[in-house]
Amino acid sequence: MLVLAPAAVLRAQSKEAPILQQSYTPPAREGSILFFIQDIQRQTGISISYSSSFLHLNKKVQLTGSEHNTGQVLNTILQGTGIQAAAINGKIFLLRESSQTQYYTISGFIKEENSKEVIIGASVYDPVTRRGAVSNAYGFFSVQVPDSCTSIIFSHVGYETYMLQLPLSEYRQMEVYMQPRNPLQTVVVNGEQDSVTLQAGFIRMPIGYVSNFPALLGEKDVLKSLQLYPGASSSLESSSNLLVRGGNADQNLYLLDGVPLYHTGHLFGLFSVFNGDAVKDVSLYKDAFPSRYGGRLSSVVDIRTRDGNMKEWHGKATLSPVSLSTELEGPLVKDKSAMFLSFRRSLVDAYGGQVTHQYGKYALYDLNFKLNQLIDNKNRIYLSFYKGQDNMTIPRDNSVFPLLDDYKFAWSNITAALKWTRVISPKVFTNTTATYSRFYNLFSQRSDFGPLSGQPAINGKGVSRVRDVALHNETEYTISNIQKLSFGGGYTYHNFAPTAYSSNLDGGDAIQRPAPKYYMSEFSLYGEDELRLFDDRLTLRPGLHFGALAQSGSFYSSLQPRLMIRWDFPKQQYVQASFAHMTQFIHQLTTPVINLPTDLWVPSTENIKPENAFSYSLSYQKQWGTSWRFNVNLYYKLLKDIVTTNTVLNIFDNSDLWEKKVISGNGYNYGSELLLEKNMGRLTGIFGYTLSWAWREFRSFNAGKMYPFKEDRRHNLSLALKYRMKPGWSISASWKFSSGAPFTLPAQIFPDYDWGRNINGKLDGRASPFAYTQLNYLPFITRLNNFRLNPVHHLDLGTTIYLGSTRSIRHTLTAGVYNVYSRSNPFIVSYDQFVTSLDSEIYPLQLYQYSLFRTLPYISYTLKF
Amino acid sequence: MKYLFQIWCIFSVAALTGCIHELPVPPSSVKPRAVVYSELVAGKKAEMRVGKSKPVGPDINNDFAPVTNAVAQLLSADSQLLEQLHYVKDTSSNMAFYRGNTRIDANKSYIVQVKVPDTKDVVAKTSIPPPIKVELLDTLRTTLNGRSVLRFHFNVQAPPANGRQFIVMEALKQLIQLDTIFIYRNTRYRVRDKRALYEQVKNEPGLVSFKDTLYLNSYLRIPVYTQDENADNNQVGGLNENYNSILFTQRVKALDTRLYLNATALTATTPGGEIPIGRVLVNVKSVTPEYYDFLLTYEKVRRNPGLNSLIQAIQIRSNAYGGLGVIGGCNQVAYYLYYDQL
Repeated sequence: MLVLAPAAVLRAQSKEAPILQQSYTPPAREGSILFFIQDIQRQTGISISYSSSFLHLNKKVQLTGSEHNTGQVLNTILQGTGIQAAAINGKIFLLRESSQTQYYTISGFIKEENSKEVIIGASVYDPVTRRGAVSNAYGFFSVQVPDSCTSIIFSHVGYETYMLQLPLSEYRQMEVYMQPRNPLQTVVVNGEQDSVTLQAGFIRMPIGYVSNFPALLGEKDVLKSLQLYPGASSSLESSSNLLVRGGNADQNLYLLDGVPLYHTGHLFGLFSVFNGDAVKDVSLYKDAFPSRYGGRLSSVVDIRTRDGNMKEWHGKATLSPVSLSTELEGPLVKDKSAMFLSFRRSLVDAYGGQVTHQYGKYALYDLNFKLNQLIDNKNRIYLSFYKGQDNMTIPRDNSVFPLLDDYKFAWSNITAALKWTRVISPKVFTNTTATYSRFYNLFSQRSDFGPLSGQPAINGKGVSRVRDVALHNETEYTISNIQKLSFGGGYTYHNFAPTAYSSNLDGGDAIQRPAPKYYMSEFSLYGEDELRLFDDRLTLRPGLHFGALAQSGSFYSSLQPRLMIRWDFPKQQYVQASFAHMTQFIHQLTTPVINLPTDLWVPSTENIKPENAFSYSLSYQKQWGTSWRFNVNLYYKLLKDIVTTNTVLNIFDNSDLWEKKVISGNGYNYGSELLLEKNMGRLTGIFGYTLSWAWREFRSFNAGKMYPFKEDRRHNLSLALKYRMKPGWSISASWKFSSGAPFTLPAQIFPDYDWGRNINGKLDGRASPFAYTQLNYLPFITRLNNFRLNPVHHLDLGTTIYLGSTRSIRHTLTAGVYNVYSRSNPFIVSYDQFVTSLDSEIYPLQLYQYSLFRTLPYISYTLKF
Repeated sequence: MKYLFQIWCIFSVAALTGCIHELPVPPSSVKPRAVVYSELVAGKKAEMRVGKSKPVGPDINNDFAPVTNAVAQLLSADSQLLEQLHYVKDTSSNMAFYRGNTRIDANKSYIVQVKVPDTKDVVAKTSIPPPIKVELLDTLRTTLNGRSVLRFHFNVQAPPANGRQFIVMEALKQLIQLDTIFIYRNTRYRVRDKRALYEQVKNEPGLVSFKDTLYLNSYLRIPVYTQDENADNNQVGGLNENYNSILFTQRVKALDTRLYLNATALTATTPGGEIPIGRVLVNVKSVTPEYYDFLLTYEKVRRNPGLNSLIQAIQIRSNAYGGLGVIGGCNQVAYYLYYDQL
């Protein structure tokens, strides 16, 4: 049935084609096939395409005399040849009937013309049947074309479309080079690509979005750019914390060159660790998860870094008042191996000792390095490395808030990956990856005196660590243009040490508790079949993912079915439904709202079960040519056994046993999303709207009743526009709006239990680590998250000006203003003040809103060679 | 002061101070509720504290007026009135103090009913736990994480078969007023009240004077610690943190545990110092489950009130139907320690 499908397409199209019913009077009853074809073209002006390789053009034919239109004449002259006429896109094609058609597999790599860097997500298709494939994460493609096919098209975001004429002299593995568009031109999204493989819950963000639109302090941020899309938001103004469809930040699987990252925030989440300059491809899956992904509930953010130029050395440096970013790429051996190196660093600490002394010291940097080596035309090796580091020092005598101790925090991510890709055959591509990922948070304190007079100063040091070593294999087998199999598996060795604190204090009677450490093995296996049926109108993608976590004392396994069904309608429209079961074996015990390095990653244990999500989605998409895209999504997500804590964990105390504070419950997220995107022309932009609900249900919270999740936002809007005034000068604007976050406002307050019984305060050491004062009242809370904070919105403006070039150096200036109308957005809201000095003080109770950023300009200068 | 979270919050607030503004609190249509705190202790007279809540809305503060006109009644389990408690004037508290003469019996159930004008009646039923057998095995001055502590080694006998026992351990310092009483011309005076007279006659022959110790209805809480992983404080925070009370759910087995008191609180510092003069009370209580739930959530709230958008709010459990607060049954063993020179 699959083999017959192409013929069915043609028949269906023939029936509907008026050009095959166009009136035509043959000049003679007899003649060659070529004679009639040429005469039809001449008389009617209709273009007829055919291949002389399978059509005997000089064959003499005779008409019956009853032929009065083009279709009848062609049917008669082609009778017995095994060829039939088909009207496609205003042309007539003479094609072999499917039973006689022979197919060839064309495979290879798609690369950029200049740098030879592989291109991810390029569309490869037969312009007649519109069947094709998309290059994978390593630039590899495999398509089958009929022998009647005269050309195939290669197209991609930001590259000039390339047409390859067929037949080829020999069908061997190819290398196709595509010419980049003008880099100063707005990046576009390729509509053809979307029509072939993309689905509504999957976003391949044009990498230009990272730099096209205004950003806080001008820092290009991959995750904040993703927040322009519906369904992806943040918990706070300008936070890089990515929340997808009501899920927590820890429910996103962040992959950097295939390596999972556990902490993605710099500076408490204000910026993400992904350096926009180093990134080549950003993909976000919100639903219809391919089976190869597992381990998180809400989304997959798959980020690939640049491979490096195989032809020439190039570099770039960007300087702004707050950061410096550089990159260098080039061939180590021309056309054989290349490297890419990027480095960015904050400059806040470089402003001198005065600032450092007054406020403390803060510095961050990111280093990305990639090496790729072509072994032969079938084998390639990639080596990638990333390190990101934050260092923060707070001296006790800082002028903002004097402390008793000095504090130091240093947290870092390191990832490394060694990949081997191999073309086993034109239809089979495989990649094997060994990865290493480490998150390490080191914190220390130092005071000048001990808890008792005469005791030595306290020196304490703690570590929170996650370490993974993994080996994975993914294989793609393109059986035909209508069927593709993907399968693979992997093993990950996890080593978690959520907190390990030690100090020089004599514990005395205190039990010395070893820091908890967890050693786990995680296994995964998956298989997926992508099928196109009913003349390509129906796409089916059933899949299965198996995951298991084993450790001493517990074993969990999970079989996770996935299904995507899509029905394509004429005029670039489709409806898609999907289901995915996802299981998350590890959990993040997080501080609500903000992204702290102290958020602890912990595993499922004997007492804590894995979390599960069952996602359902229904979407409709319509495209207009290659410029406009509109889609609307409905989704429902049921979360089972999700974990939370009812307290804040103290990383400076090994005795704060996390497992005792974890409770599990359910979540219900649902909503709809709307996206309108214009990808081409001088004006480009994106409009996204999300209407959503997110509920949580825990037995010991809110009397066991559902309550709005802290990340529940009813409305989210984003509008980002870029206008190219002229080549080399563009202006941009973005406006984001988000409904107010839920907040628990007490319904009443009443006298404190102790105070009411004449227990009026505290003796030494009563201060709680998380509450500065002992209030003389208690809050009576009827419902959790019963109140809404003010909405968050801001308008940002930006411009990019190409200043010209001197010799081979190009100069660009970027500038803009964040929060143009100086909106005070809620960052923290508190009922009662954070700090009151006297317990017994009588004072008015009020809501206080603390805001972060008002109007903030930015400017940066980039030179590129 | 050694926690990142705290530092972060403070820094954020400090950094954002320039961008702080007050938000209007929406007006509330809810009515105030009566608040009742009553710990019915076996062997002691019934006592209650009665107050009133304040609906959160514009223009409120944290000042609470005691409710002195409440009708506070103690009823038997079959709703027979045992006694109406009488108001005892106590200006030192923001809740009115009501006391009765009925002594509470172990293993009996009581109903507490409180009527406060303009609020709903508060009703709660509680059963007094059976006596607990506590053995103090030893006490020791030692240190805990560099802090000077007094260690109590307790053994609490197992609850009756198939039963559960909710154990609460706490320490308080009851403040003491030291005074001198003198008898002049057959009249008894306190020096505190008649200092001028005392100064005038103190050297007269025959003047009788003696020292007196007055136990005040005023307490300070002494922070307590545990190292016992079976303590339910594990659900609240770390075991190296201090708590109002140490809480155990005791099943089947005897409870052998050590309670630590912050020793710096035991002895008064120089007059006017941080640690006032008084006696130390260490209570080991068996309480009703509802009271235990209240105390556990109370510990959470005291550690982290959850009144800002960064922290999950905690809901306090209550068994005071119609109102707020808690009515708990208790059977306790108390230890009195005298460290200060009286």
